[in-house]
Amino acid sequence: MDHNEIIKSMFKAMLDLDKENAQKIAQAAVQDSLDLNRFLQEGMSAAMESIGKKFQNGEMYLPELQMSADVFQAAMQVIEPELLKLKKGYQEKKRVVIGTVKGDLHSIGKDLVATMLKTEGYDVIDLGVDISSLDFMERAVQLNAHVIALSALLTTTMAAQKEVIEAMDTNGVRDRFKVIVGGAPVNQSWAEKIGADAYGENAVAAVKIINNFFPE
Amino acid sequence: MIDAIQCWLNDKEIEEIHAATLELMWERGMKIEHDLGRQMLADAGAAVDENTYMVRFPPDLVERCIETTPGGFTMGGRNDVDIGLGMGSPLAVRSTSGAEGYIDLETREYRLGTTADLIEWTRILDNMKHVDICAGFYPLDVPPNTRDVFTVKTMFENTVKPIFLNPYDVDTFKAIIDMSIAVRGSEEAFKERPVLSILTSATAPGHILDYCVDQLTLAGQYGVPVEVNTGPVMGGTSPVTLAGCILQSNIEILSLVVISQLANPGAPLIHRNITMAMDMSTGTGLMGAMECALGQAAVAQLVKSKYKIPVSSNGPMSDAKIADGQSQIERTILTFLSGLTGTDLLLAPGYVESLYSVDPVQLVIDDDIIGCLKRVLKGIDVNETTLAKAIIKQMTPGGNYLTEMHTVENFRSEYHLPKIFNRDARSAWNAAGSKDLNAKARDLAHHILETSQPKPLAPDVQNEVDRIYKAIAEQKNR
Repeated sequence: MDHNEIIKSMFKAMLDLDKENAQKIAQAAVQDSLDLNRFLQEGMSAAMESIGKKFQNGEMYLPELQMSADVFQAAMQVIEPELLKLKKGYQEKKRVVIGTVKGDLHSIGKDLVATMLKTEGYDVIDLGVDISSLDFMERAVQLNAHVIALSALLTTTMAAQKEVIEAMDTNGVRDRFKVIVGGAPVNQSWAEKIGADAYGENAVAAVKIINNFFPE
Repeated sequence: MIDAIQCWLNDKEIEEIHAATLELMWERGMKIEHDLGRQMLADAGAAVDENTYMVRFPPDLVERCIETTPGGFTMGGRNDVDIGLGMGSPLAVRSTSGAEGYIDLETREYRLGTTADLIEWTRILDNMKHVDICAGFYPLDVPPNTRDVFTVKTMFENTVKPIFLNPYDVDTFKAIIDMSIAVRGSEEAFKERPVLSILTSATAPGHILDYCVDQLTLAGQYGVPVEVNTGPVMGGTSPVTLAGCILQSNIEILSLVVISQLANPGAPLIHRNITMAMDMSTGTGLMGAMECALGQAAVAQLVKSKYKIPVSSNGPMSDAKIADGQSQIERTILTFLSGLTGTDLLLAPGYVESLYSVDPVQLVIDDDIIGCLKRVLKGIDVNETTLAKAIIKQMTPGGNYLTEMHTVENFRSEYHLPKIFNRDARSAWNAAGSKDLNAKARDLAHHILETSQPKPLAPDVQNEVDRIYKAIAEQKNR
């Protein structure tokens, strides 16, 4: 098949949220020795951008967004080993460790940020809910994370965001990570007060802010 | 007069949901963290997997526990008003707990609630005709680990009505029970006519945490009524379909019923489902959406017709941030759907922003909305007096009934007389300052605060309440 056609069909498969087909097309792209950087940019990333726009315009909704991240990742699994072989022009993904802080079991807001970050191409490690300060720090160090994202939905648990930052300070690793905080009771002044790098008011804002951490 | 009860499910559908509930309680079950809780369930015949903490409930155990749950009970405050729940008692209303924000009565600005706000809120609640059980919020200017106990203490000091709350943990709950017994006078008197009720909640989907089992057990020991709750979010923490959401919530709630009844057979419970919707763009949990209204109403019908235990439902509730137009639309629809389906306990006057904030202006408006519902629920009496044949017969054509003794004797029972709805002629309305609903509600709230005084606790009770709070606050806020 013509390379342009493959890229177009990839774009369409992603918008159709057709995981199986997207994987097949990605395999075809690898077999046909397509320019995989171009395939990623003009097929997959362009599709994710289009889905993001539709989401913001209220034409697509959360479950579809979530599914699109799934499709994207499934296709990435196919092409990433090849991209890494080529190295040329392919930037390794930035890694984000995300979770809900100790004592807090809320997950939907955190899941949403994780999904949106995946759709932007980040390598997202979701630690889950009720995560202790030490776990956050240790996992982020182990995984060489670039960003730590802390969610808290309760006024009684937001203090745990501060504890994570304090733990990093105490252990001398604070400078290794950018820290972003979010959740219903959290705001900009809280983020500043506890020494976080940023506050994300919602998932869309959080992704924009994290993008700004890494200007191209 | 016909029964004003509305139906959302037919008999076959109710049986189908019940059968699916029993089937999945046995085939799938719930994850229960509490070691002793699992042991108790295993002893009663449940299938327990000690590796996964999954507990599967045999159908006959579930049926037996529904059977031992009382069909109704009576609560009461510091006055002599009895509040019946279930078994044909009239609709009761309570406010709820869980808010953090308070909308200033005068400036209408949002802030995190303080002790002064809690006192103001409770004093207005105390004067709301249709609010039977009071609940507040946890003020942020007191030590954090005992805000629940502080809230109960403050509310006892400012209202004669019974109190509802969601305790933080078993220690604070015990302190709150001790306080409530002090207010009631003795443990026996408290059991007879509890002045306190609480809520405990499963974590959707399919999970019961330690504190739930502890709370249910402790509540049962002292006869504290518990609303056994879950709040699945359609498409988030439950299937997106209403039927699936209702099924899952029924499984979660009946699991709590089983735990409660095994620990203390006959313990008073209320089946409490908050069907929550999700904003499909932001993931925000919603309580004012029409799907919430419909889901809860259907659950109320299921519980009343199938289980015959008391049920509570959201009524005056909204996702709007303040007492605006959206708020009045959502809460009125919720109130009427839940109310007309025969719920026993209607929640949550004054609440806005789902569960995050309270607005005293909205509280005053809600009292009138509930008054409207109660009028509709009362229906149309048809008898010799109400038909008024004799009076119609003797009426002069073109005359009027205003001066008839029949009118004087019957208008108060026939009409709902709203406190703040405007019904004046435009000229009179203009002369009175052209005030809209919110302004009138605010005026009435001010009037209440200026003219009424809370009934103080007896000095020895106050001392005991203070002592209990001081002790638990010192213990938990070290």
